[in-house]
Amino acid sequence: MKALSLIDPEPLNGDAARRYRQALIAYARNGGEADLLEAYECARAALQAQVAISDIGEIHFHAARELRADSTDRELTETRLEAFYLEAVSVYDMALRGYGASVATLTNEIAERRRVEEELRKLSGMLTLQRDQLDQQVRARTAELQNKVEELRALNGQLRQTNQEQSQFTYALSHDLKSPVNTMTNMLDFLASDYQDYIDEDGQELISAARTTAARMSRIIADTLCYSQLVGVEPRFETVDLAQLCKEVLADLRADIDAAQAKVHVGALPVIRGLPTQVRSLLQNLISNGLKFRAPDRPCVLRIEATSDVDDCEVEVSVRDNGIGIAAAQQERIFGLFQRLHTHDDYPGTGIGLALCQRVAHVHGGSVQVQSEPGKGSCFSVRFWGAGA
Amino acid sequence: MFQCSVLGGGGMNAAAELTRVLVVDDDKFDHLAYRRLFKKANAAVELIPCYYARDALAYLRRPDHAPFDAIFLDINMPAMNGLEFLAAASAEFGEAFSHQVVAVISTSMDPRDQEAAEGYDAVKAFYSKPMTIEKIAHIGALVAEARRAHS
Ligand SMILES: Nc1ncnc2c1ncn2[C@@H]1O[C@H](COP(=O)(O)OP(=O)(O)O)[C@@H](O)[C@H]1O
Ligand SMILES: [Mg+2]
Repeated sequence: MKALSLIDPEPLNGDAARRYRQALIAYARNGGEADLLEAYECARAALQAQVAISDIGEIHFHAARELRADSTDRELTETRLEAFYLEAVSVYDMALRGYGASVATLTNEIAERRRVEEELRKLSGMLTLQRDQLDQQVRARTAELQNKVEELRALNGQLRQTNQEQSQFTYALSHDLKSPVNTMTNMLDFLASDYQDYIDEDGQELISAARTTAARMSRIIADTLCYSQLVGVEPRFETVDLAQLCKEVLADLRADIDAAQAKVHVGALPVIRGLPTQVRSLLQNLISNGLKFRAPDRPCVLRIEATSDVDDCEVEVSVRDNGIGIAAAQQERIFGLFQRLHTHDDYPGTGIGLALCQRVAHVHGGSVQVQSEPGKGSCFSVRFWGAGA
Repeated sequence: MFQCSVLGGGGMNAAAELTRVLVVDDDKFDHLAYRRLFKKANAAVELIPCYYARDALAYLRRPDHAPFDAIFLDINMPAMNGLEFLAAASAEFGEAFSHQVVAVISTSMDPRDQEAAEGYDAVKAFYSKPMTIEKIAHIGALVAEARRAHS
């Protein structure tokens, strides 16, 4: 075994060198964590004693040479020497980078950085977890919505089919009711005319009641037929000349107009987009209502007018009368199917007309609006798409 | 509360229990039918015709109105239907109205209508049209029973 210490480093750095050597030897031999930490302490003390970094190198290499010669496991010794030196030098390195001499601060900062890093890691872990959960939720919700959409699509299809079936059923039913009612009316007519002399007043009253009722029934059938034909139709819009249509409707209603001794004013009517037969029924119903619900004490005056917006996109058609009017409380009810405000005796009717108008308006993307004051008159209006749109 | 298609407890002549009836129905031919049925049942009844439910309300409102045994009430009527009439009369006349014998007589066999009608104390029976002598006799029996319960 060779003697240690060929060159004594003491004259150079005294305590610092000695301490470093001892610590280095201890670590090289034992490899303990605490021994390695001594590198820090030594370097810190040396830094404070203003030992230059080159001197630290000098001290290290002297000690290292001795240890190498002495060692049985060269490789392990070499690794430990290097680790110890790096640890010591890192104190100088940090000092150079401006961390000052305060190892405590340094340690704190390292600890703090570790804590922050740890926290960041935890947070990002949490974020990843949350993101995964969110992903899952979004996927689940999307699937749910897709199911809903499919469900709605199916329901919509069913509804359309039901609507169509219902309308076909109503059509068939009312169609088939037509002929027995006609036959019944015929028979009653024969009975009334051919047996006039045999049937007493009481019997005549019954026959008359039956005839009136049969007539009412055939009206209901006709109106129901009309209404059922509106349901489930494909709206294939055409250009409809309202002025022309109105002229035709008024011609059809000539007898009623004359009977009511009504004055009908028709304003300028535009061309619209719609289903001609439907718009025709709507106009026909609104006008005949105007004639029917006239006030008994003044001449009946009807106004059929239209107002369009600037570019003819939307057209509002109105039928205004000076008739009996409708109480505010009843203005919603009258659009219901079979809903009426009067007995058949006071005003005949089926209560289908306005329900039909409302349906037509819906098909055309609007609704029938009513403005009315009892005893003054009513105004029914509907919006259509202008042909200019 | 029950529906009647068979003979009422009092037999045919129970129709005679009815001396004055308020008939609330918009169809004048139904009034005609009631008149004929009573005649057939040999019951001398006075029918007070109301073609609108509001006329019946106005009648009930009159302080001097003649007393009656029963109200025949249609459901499907213009402007104010039978159920609306029951609501209005119950609200306006309260307790007094609930003691009346109201027979709802309707073409509507909608169970919801029946259920709604039976929610009123005044409604003692519910029948489907057309009316028959048997149904009228049944109402007569109900009236007699109510009279006994009161005296
Ligand atoms: N122009 C009008 N003036 C007053 N009342 C009206 C008018 N149009 C409709 N009504 C009321 O609305 C009800 C429903 O009208 P409608 O559906 O056309 O049935 P109907 O004409 O067969 O009675 C009518 O019974 C009437 O009471
Ligand atoms: Mg009408």
